[in-house]
Amino acid sequence: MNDKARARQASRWLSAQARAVRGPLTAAIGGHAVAGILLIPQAFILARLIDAVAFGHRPAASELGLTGGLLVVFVARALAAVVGAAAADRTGLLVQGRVRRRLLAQVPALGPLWIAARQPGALANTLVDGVKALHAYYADYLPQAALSVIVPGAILAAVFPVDWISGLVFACTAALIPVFMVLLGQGAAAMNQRQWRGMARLSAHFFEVLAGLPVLQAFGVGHAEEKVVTKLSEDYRRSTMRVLRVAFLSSFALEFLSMLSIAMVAVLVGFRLFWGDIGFTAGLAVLLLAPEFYQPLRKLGDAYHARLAAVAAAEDIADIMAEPIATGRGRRGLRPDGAFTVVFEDVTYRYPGASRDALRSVTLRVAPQEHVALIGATGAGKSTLMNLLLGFMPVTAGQIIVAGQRLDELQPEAWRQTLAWVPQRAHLFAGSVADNIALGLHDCPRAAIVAAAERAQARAFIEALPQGFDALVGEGGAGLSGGEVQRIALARAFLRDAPLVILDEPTASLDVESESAVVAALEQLRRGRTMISIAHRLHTVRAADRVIVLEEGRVVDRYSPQQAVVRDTAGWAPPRGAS
Amino acid sequence: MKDLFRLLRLGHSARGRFALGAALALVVVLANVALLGLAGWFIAAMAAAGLIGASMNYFTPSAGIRAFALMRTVGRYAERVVNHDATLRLLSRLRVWVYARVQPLAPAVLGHYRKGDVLTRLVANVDALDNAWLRIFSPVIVAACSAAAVLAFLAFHSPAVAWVDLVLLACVGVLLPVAAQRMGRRHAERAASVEGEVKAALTEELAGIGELTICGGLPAVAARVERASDDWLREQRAGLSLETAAAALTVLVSGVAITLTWWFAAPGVLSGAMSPLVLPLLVFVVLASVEGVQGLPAAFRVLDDTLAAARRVFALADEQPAVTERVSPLREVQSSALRFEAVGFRYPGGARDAVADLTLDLPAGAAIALVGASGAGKSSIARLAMRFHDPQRGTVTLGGRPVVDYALEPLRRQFAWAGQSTRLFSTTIRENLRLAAPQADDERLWAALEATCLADEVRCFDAHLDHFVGAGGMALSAGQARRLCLARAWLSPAPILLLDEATEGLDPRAARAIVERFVDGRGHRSLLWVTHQALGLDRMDEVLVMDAGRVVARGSHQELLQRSGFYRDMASRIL
Repeated sequence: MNDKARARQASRWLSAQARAVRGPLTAAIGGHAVAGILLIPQAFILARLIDAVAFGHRPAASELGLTGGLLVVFVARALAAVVGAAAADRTGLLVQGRVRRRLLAQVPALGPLWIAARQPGALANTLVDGVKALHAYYADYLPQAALSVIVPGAILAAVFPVDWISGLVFACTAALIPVFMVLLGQGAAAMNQRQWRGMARLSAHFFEVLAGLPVLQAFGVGHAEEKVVTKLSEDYRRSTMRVLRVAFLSSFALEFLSMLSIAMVAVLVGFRLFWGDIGFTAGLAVLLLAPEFYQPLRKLGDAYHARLAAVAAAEDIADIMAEPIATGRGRRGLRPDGAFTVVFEDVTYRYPGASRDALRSVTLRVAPQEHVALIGATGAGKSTLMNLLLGFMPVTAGQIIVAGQRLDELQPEAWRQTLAWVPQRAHLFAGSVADNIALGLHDCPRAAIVAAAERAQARAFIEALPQGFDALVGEGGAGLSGGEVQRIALARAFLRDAPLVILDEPTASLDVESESAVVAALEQLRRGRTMISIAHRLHTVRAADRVIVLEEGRVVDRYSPQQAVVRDTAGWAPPRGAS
Repeated sequence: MKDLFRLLRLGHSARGRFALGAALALVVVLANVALLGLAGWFIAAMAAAGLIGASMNYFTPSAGIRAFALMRTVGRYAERVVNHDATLRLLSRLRVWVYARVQPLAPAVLGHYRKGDVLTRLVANVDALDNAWLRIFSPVIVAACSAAAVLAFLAFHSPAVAWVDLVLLACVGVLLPVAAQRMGRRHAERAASVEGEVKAALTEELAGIGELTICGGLPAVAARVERASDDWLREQRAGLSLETAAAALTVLVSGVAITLTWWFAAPGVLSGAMSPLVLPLLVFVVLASVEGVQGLPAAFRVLDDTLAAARRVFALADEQPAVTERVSPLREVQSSALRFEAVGFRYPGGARDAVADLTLDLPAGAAIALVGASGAGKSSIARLAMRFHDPQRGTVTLGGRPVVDYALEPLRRQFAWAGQSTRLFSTTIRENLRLAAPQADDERLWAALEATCLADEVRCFDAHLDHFVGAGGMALSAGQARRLCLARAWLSPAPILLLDEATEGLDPRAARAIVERFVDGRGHRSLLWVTHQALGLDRMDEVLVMDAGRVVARGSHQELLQRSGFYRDMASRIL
């Protein structure tokens, strides 16, 4: 999708959201409109009071009624402003809450692979900052867009009967403003948006240079980069100023027209007063209203950045909401008693948008309590096979049969309860060690958690932590080594006591000592369970009952572990190592 | 505030522009006051002249009205251009200055800042400093000058009205915004901390989504995110209510002030002390004077954040580098023989020595491997060689001279380095490679890609060498990024290849092929090979086994296989 189409989709999405908050949005516009329209009686009363003193030569005290009226108008305007602003804020907050809730439901439903393909940090930014950027669009921009029609319209309607010539001046300039704004504004908006991106790029580059300083230093070119920073900053300034000189023209046009019309109204009113065509009160009221006529448009200009930011955010949000949810339609339950058979029948998988199959007609039967190791170069299909089995994505063709049932007909939750998964780098969540071991299990007795940790060879180091099983880990928590994290993940698997364990080389990132502890724990774990593991390490292969070699999406060989170890020296991997 | 003035001093060279910008902004406000005041006086004068049938010179005032209108319009445009230009100049200066100050801090001192998102914040802080002039200094100058001018004018006609206007300006420009901000500070702080909580909880949910999905822990984490999100909305609402109240009070105070202006001016008109024509003029001037202080609420709003941003930027910029060049350092390196003599090194704040009593000799052209578990001190040796740190004991020499005698950049250009991180720059493959050899032609670039088994894959990209590697190399696979970093080192003309865990995460087969290529095809270059993988060790002149900062065994591969159990273990674990 090109930029324009995305921006259009974003605009449509923004309008669609407005429908859900029509009530508060109307209240916001109504409140502000009342405050704006009350400027008309305010101007007339004030003009009348000045007339009374300046030309009527009456003391201020003789006009107590009107004075009171003027103060009432001010109070009413303040109250209307409160109503309007409160409703506007409510609108913005409602949209924020609603959109964020929908995103929070949508994103996890899109599945772990969809999320993994994006940066979690960038996604979180869209859901937090992006959604917040919508606020000003609904709370400021939309109400202001309505007000910039309503309030000038009301002033025009009030001015015409008392002084049609000034009314005509207002009407003519008001008609010219949109023309100027469109002529200058559109080009400026496009340039403006590009410039915002330019700013983002400049910041990104600056960040990159700072983050990449160790590399620049290692190659001894730290000083040279200073010239690049200077040049980029100066280029950015020049191009920005080129854009701003044009972009400011639209506010220049608005300012020019409003000032021109105020000057014209002042001079024309002066002459008509001189000739006695209109009364002083009317003339003064018109002059008081002249700056107010253009005020809403000026505020709309100020709120324009809110619109740009909201459109940019809406582009990302609309993209996410438009993603189709693919997995997990099955309804059947699953109650296996103990380990069960896993069968891949002619399983083919092609990633969306890919030109060739990642898995091609893979047929594989894993017996109950068997331990199968998958080996092969990166991209050979090991992870694809594992992700299919985990139910993270549906097969393109063929079928996976578990405990005699088709996987795609099973309820995802039911299936996941029968398996445990230990990835290469397990994730610890903010919370205690015990919480992390009992992840997803409610009211798990402490004894069971300790027992699971014991079997995962994790009890000793956990108890050595200052708060033992209650020690906080994860973001801002105690630092654990890679091997310790993996053993906590293994403890999870022990505690769940699932009949099928899926492993993605859990020792891949560990050093020797940590590795041997994890290997010992794995030896425990496999007892009585079916195990399917992706192997990068020799000991994983040695521990397996059977080794399956994948190459370019096919099963090319099945060995006993002894054969695999022997063949390793000859080189089982594809001729040219693709990583 | 000191930091903000320091910031302005950095923009010293643009001070003419700053002064012009402030003057123009002042003209814009005063032209409006003059326009409306004159217009009010003019229509009253015309009405009065009409009433008594007197003649009147209307040319001068109507020309004045037009002149003020023009002055305001042109002034506004010029003011925005000049002020934005000055701000961008200041930011540009600041960015370069920050870079120049931070550059020598890498990587030793900057390492402490790597944690969390300090660098992200530094960049955001620099960007945030554009507020300093546009939204703080300029509005304050304009408010002070315009208020002084308007109040002097009003006081000349009616001291009472001047007092009314002073109270009005103080309320609208200072008291109300400051009160709203004071009362709202608690909400703003809470909102910021809850926002951080939402982000942290959400990032955690997304980063651990696989395990949460499998274990069924998703609902609990999702509920935590939603709770935090709702809290955040509540805090936002509380803050917004205060702003609404301040805005409504502004309307009310303005109304009362206008009414009082009329009330206090009336007796003067009736007693004849003041011309009746001045009454509308005063009302208009008071109405228009508010514009002069309109920038102040925003200034108060951004003041705290801008001050904090300036403080953080200067705090980092004022850090002392870990290593400094001596006076008139050597720029030429005579030979590439690298020696560590009884070197001991502990990181600042470290609990134990990262390197203890290390002696190592890497003659020109030799190949040495450093092996051991992570944390054994291997990488510290690489960092000491490139002089990212200075050791506390012993000396590191290059070409027979202590490394501290050399200028930093020529010293570091002696090393062709590839490290554990695969940091690439968001540009093309060509530019990433040329970081190591700016003059290299395509033939040499392809040769480097061949050496790391990457050439065929690069040929598959439509743009070949001009293929864009994505933000920080994200568009490449981890393996491709890794091999591109290795190719960068291979391309470098430096006489010492320094590879620090540089094949980590590569396919064992590919890793082996690359190691062999580096060992066998390195020509006259020497090689320092830091690894915990047992690859290519049989081709090394010497292997040093390290543990806890010490060399626990050294010798050839064969000797070590016989002598060291630890070494045998390690050599046998790679698939």
